Amino acid sequence: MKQPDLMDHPAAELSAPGRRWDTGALWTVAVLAAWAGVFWFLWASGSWALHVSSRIFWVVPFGAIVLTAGAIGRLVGARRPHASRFTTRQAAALALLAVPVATILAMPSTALGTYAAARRGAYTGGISVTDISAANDSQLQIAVSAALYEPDVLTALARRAGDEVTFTGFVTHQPGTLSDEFQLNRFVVTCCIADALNAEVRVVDVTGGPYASGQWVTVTGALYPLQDEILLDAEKIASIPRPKHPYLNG
Amino acid sequence: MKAAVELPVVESPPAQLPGLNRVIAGGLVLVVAAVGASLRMLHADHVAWLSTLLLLFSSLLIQAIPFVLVGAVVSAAIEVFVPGSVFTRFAAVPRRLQLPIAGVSGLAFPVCECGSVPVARRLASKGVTSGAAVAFMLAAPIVNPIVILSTAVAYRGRPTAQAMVLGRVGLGLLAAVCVGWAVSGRSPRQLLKRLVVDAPEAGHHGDRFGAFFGHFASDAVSMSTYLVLGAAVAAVLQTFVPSSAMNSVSGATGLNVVVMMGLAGLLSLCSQSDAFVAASFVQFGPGPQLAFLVFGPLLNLKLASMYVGTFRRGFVTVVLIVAATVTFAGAMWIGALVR
Repeated sequence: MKQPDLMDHPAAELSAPGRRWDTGALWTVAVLAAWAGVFWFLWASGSWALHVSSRIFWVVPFGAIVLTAGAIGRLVGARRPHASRFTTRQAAALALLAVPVATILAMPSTALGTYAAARRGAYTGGISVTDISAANDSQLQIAVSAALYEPDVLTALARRAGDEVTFTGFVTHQPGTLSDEFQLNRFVVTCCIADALNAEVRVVDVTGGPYASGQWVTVTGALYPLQDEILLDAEKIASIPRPKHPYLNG
Repeated sequence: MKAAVELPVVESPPAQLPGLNRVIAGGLVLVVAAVGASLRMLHADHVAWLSTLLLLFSSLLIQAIPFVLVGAVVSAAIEVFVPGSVFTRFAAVPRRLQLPIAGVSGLAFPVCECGSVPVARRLASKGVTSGAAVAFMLAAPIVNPIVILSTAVAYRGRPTAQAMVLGRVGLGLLAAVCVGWAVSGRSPRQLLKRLVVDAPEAGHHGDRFGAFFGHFASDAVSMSTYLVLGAAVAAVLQTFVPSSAMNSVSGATGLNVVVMMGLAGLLSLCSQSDAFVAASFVQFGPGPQLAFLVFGPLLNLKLASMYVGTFRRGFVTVVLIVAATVTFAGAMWIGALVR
């Protein structure tokens, strides 16, 4: 089954007598190294925050270190007395694994936005009613969205009526809404953005603008309970660039 | 050093391309360059659906591949450092006890489903019965402490919280044992496929370092290849199918359970985060939500792709039939109890 493989790799000519570089192993090393490069890039550039929650940030350095160690370890063992065959199946598998590397490195720096907001569900879980009295603005933003579906959360939030808060998110406009209103959206991510759910807050008394769909803003205003929902009565709105961490943690 | 996965290979040996290594290398580089160039030319950030699709695809992989690496490290360590006598002793345990023991042992392996596949493959190849290896693989992503905790957090404050946590663990364990029982008559040779990228044969005696990294690379690359395919399909569905598409059947008893099982299969979420998504389907009752939580980690697009690359023909069908039946019956029953 095993046959000596005439190598295309020039290093083979330099190898010790009886030992030669294994082509398949070298390509495996190349793909592992490329994936290691992806994780190092995500880590160094901070663009991991566009893909995963900070709760599981550890996967990024873990991936970078383990893949680097794996590539080095495999390279050390890639010179063998009898090189194995490099088959079409192996080549296809390695090529397939290389495609996402190009995708991740070439794609523009972008985050989930208005397109996803129109298609993904609302965040409703993980809200502790007893914590709402001491919740910070990010937690309140999630809770306000969940209040549409959780009566207990709505009741707890109503006790904070009039409290001044500052919420951050991107703007969307629902058909039929008044000109002085928009929806403020921010995705809540637990692991990766595949589980992203939208925390959506209705902002009223909007002045200035107009604010285009997708524009990131911070809105400072007061919580305003209205029957079965909580509104944000805007006092000050500022356009901002997309935050470095565009998602909230679930 | 003992050789890698010592599975008799029934299928014909893969085709070789003598002298074509340069062509393969060139083709690989061209494919990668073409993908990168296309993305730049398309201005993906100006095409919302494409931008969302690529983000979802890459995020699914960035999150899942480290868990595959955990599984590959554990799998290689089992192969190289754990003596075969350990597995021989486990194989001596009565078969009717092996399945539940294997299922419960998932408590000690806190990774999501992508990491448990290479470990189960290694266990089966080392002498653990096929049923026990499969029961471990299916139960580990559901019964491990991190998943239990995340489910409890997602449902905290809700009257159904306890039922969802206990129901998920109990029903997931039951489904895993049932699938394990269904495949327990198969030998490793009948169960497992050859990996896409073979581990190297034994090097010079005592080269544990080389053997470990050889097995690690083989498992990591082989599993990730199928993960890429599954993630691509899952990303397409997540991009184009709105979550509201299922709302019309939320009140149809029975059908709503089936729909939520199907949704879990299509979304391919990590078992550590899927409870938050399940909890967001407030229009569905606890039964359909429980079905989502149990069925997703047993069989989804990502997993199905990995199963196809790991197990022989028919395995996905067995998982689908047995897991779907147990999940459906259990979710209907528990849903009726906690309504």
